[in-house]
Amino acid sequence: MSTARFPLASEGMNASAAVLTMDGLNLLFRQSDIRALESASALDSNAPKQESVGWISYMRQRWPVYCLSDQLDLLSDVPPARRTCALLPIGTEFFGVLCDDAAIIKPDARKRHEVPVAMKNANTPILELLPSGDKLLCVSNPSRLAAYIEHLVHKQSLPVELPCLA
Amino acid sequence: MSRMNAWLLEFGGDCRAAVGTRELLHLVDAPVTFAVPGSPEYCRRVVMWQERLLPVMDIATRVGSASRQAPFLAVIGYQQQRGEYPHFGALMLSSPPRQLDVSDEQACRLPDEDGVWRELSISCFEHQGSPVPVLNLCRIFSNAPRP
Repeated sequence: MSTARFPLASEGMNASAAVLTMDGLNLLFRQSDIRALESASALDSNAPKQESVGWISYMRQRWPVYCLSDQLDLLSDVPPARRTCALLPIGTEFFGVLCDDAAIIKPDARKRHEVPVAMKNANTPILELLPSGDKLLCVSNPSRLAAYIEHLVHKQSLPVELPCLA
Repeated sequence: MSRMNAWLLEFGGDCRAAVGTRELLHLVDAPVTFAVPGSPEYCRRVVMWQERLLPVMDIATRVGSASRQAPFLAVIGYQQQRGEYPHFGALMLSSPPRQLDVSDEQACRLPDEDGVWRELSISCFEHQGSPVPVLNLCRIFSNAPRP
């Protein structure tokens, strides 16, 4: 198993990590991948970028914020439980993800597992799986999550095929 | 002399199939499973088994049959190449499996010759007047979902 794909391994087997909870989904990132946590009430929902729910200000700029369901679908209506906005980096830029809760944990990275081939979609942002107590932590990283969101945005912007009338 | 060489697996309703006796390793009653978001409808969950995380396959959903309550999981083992260490997976079952004695004379056509069973099966036999596909576990568990 390659450790290069596993974001936690690069900072030691038991490095601190951040869990972003979205209903039943627990997305696990390196702690350093979470650049800031803001209240969702700080969101500016005027003229949001395509498929995003608004903007958040950070480092004197504003960045798009997305809301995901626990099935990893993009939501346009923000559930009341999404009270926190986590800012993640992609290169020199950032994007926000709304979550119910953000917690710092020290996961036992030795218990990580690959996503089984039969259930691994090509665009999935989930790199590996880590059972922890009665939960399953889904290991991700900002670039994979950003690519996945971009894929969803592109998919939703495609024109709906019209039925053939011939 | 009778020689049990297959397990009959019931997936709910009329949906059923078989695997070889050596392919079924363990039956888990009332398993604790975890949902994996973004996975295909027919394989949404994983189960911990002997420190491994196994994909849970819902064959009924995969063949387009209505998914029923599946209180059992059959842990199965398969090889992608002869001699290699086995890979493992789990199949959702509506009832405990039953052993069968199957002979070559029972060979028959698949229930849907051009349909999804063709993709999931290596052969088929007749049992009590109905076709029973024999699952190709390697193909079922080794192929990534189609986009």
